[in-house]
Parts: sequence; structure tokens; C-alpha cells
Amino acid sequence: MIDPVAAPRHVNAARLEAIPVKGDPVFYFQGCTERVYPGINNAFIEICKKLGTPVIASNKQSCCTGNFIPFNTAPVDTVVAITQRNYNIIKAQARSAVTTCNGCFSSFHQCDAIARGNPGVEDRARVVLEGLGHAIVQDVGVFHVAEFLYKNREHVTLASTRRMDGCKVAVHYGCHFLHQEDPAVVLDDPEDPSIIEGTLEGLGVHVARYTERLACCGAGLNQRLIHDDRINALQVTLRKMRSIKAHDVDCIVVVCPYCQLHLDNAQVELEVEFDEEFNIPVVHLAQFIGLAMDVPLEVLRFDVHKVPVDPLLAALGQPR
Amino acid sequence: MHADEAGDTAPGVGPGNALVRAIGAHPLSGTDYFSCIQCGRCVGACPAAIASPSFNMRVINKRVMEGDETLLSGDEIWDCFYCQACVSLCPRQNIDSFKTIIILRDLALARGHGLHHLARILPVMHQYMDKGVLTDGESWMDPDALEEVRRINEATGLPARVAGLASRGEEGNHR
Repeated sequence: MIDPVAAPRHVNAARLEAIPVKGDPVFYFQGCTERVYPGINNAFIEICKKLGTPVIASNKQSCCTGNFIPFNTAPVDTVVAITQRNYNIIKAQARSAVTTCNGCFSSFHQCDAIARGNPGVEDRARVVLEGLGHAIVQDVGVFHVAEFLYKNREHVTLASTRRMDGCKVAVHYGCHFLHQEDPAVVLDDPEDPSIIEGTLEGLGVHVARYTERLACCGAGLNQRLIHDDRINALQVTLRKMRSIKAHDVDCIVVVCPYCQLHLDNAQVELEVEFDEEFNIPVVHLAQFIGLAMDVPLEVLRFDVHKVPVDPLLAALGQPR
Repeated sequence: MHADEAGDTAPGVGPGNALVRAIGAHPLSGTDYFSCIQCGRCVGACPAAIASPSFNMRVINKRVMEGDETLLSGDEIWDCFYCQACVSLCPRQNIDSFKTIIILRDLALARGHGLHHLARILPVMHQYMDKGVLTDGESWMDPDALEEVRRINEATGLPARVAGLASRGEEGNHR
């Protein structure tokens, strides 16, 4: 078991320093795909209550625009202006935001990089925003829940009331948590990440080191939207799921609702297309930590998962 | 702002080729293709190379250097997973293959190629323009906030871009 406060390997010290600590108010930036798994949002809010972190959410925020540029459907000006508007909404309430979605996380940082490389785009966004009473914001930090929980892992362990040392899990980081244009916003080593393991192993969880742990889930961002034949992309999922199955885990822990959606739904498709059964539950890190903190199951909303989470629930230990 | 034209001069090898110039005119440009050492690390990390063996980012970068504009009419550029692993792992650290693919797709669309790939994406964009939220279901946005988003979309040209892609896709279907 890794000491939850031990010095980490390969961690970006400046990024770690910037992550909010448990008493800092944070803006919870809602993602659209989380609406499929409302237990993610519920879990994050419950975790923050147990950690003593004030959480602010706002129905003034829009979607992040994360996919618009790779969709090839939006002008760069739209993406930068909408992102900047969301920064304004965050800044009105908190210095930092936390997201439970790799897409939202990546979207903010991608837009920052685009704006830095295109002064003209930012100037045009400023004109549009000023007409609405907003400004260009450059001092709001957007962090991922995996970063937030890692920074505060000692407190996560202390606030966890259920034994988790009977659980064996496979961790899926997801591409858009590990890979960013600006390395300064990447906390972990993209070639050998360890922060989620650091958080989980502090709880006594056994984390499998499977061969395909850095591989894409197979959603390929919009691959399954742009191709009629979806089997090619599913090959990537099949390789990953076979690699996970070999370790006989109780669940897959993800940090992105889009990866969660794909890995949860694709198991049905894999059975149809390749005649291979997996039945491995897919839960978000926030839901998993929620289990460790004894958040009620009805709050974690496992009822909407395609693959039943029963094997995971059976592996949970007794309350401490 | 999207590049509407992919250049008007003949392809050629070297920094001055028309394809490299067209990419350079795009607001997402910034890659120096001629610093690529063709090591292939991008391919080793690539999920698209597993899904579609014909997708090879090293070869795509080489074809850009050679000014090969058949890239724009081919299928390969539509197979990228946009995972960005190639960007993280590039030893030169200045070859942004993620953005290269986005730009190549924009240039392809501007020439009327690949519009059918957007058939399931454009309705998603309409959801966002209507609700400020991409996915199904009611908008979570307050009405005043949603109106702000609509004004930004309008002022920055989003509805026009989506309508243009939709109408050109329709034209393609009826040809």
C-alpha cells in the first residue's frame, strides 16, 4: 500500500501547489455527459461536504465547448468567447473550479492555449464579452477532481468510513486528462501516471497494473459519431477490456463520464459484435470515493448504469 | 475563423508548398512540419492505428511536408481519435498532430470533402445552440444566461458556420 502522503513520483510540483486544499471554496463546473450518470455530481458534492470544502454551482454556466473544435463545426472565436464567458461565471463566485469530466478539463486548457497563440481571437472575444458586461479572465484555475482528491488524499482517507481493502480495481485515466498541449497543466506523468493509484491505495484498494491501462477507451472523441461503421473503434475497446478482464477486477474506475458512458455501453456491443462477455462495472472515481465515505447508494445512482455494480458492492468491506 | 481555401498554387515539396501554406493560414496552426524526424513515436501511441491500420500519423505528417493534397479527399484524416497522445509523446515537442488533423479536416470540408461525416454532429450543435448544453434533456441554464450564450454564438459566427456546413452537406447528398 502506498503511503497516502508519501512524496509522489513524476508529479508537477507547481501544478500540485495550485490545486485547492480542502477548506478552499470551489466552483463545481457541470458537464453535460454527467447528466447520464447523476451519481457523479451527487458524489462530488457529498465528498466535499465530508472534506469541509464549500461548493458553488451555477446555472449561469453553459457547456464547456470542449468538442466544438475537434467537431470542425465552430469558429475558434466562438469557442474562446464561450470559454471566457464561463471563466467570468466561475470568477464571480470562486478562485478555482473543479470538474469531474476530462472533456471539460481539457476544453478550458485547450482554449487557454488557443487564446495565447492567437491574440486577435482574444481581442475579438473581448469586444463581444464587454458588450455583455464580462471581461477576459486569466486568473481562474480549472482543476480535475482526480487532482483535487490526490492533493487532499490524506483527508480523503481520514473521511472514509468503509474498509476498501477487499476491492481490486482497474484504473482508466482517459486521454484528455493525461495529454494537453500545455504540459504545465498536466499534474502527472502521461507515460506512467500514478496519482489515482496514490489516492486509491491510500484507502487500501488493490489497483491492477494492466497492459492497456493508458489506452483510449475506444470512444475516440467523435469517432462513433462520424463513422457509420463503428466496429473499427470498438476494436480498441475490445483490447482494453480483454486486458482488464485478465486481472479479475471488481470494477473499472474512470475519471471521465464520457469514458464511463462508452465503457459501460460498449460491453453490450462487444457481446453482440464479438461474442465476448465482460460484465465489469464502470464507476467514476467520485462515486468510488463516495462508496468509501459511505454515501448512500441511492445518492450514487448506480441504478442508471448499464453494467450492474453488484460485484463491486459485494467486494466492499464493513464500515470502520 | 476557418480557412476557406486550401491554397491556390501547385503542390510542391518544402516549406513553401501550398498545403503547408494553407495549414499555416489557419488559426490553430503552429506546427513546424519540417522539424519532424519521422521517428514514429506518434504511431506507437495511436489508438486510431489499431482501429484503422491505414491511419499512420507519421506518414500523414510526411505527406503534409510533401504537399500531398490528396490527404484532403481521402478517408485517413477522419480516423484520428483526437486522444493527443502523439502530442505528449513527440520528442520534438512541436509537432501538434491533433491540431494538424483538425486543420486538415477543416480544409477538406472547405473543398466539399467529408461533409457526410458531420451528419450526426450537426444535430448536436443545434442542441447546444438551443440550450447551451450539448446532451439530450432540458437545459440547466437560466434564461438570461442562455440569451447571453446565444448572443455570443451569433456574434462569433457559430449559427452561420453550422448552417453553411448543413446546406453544403445537403447539396452533396443531392448530387
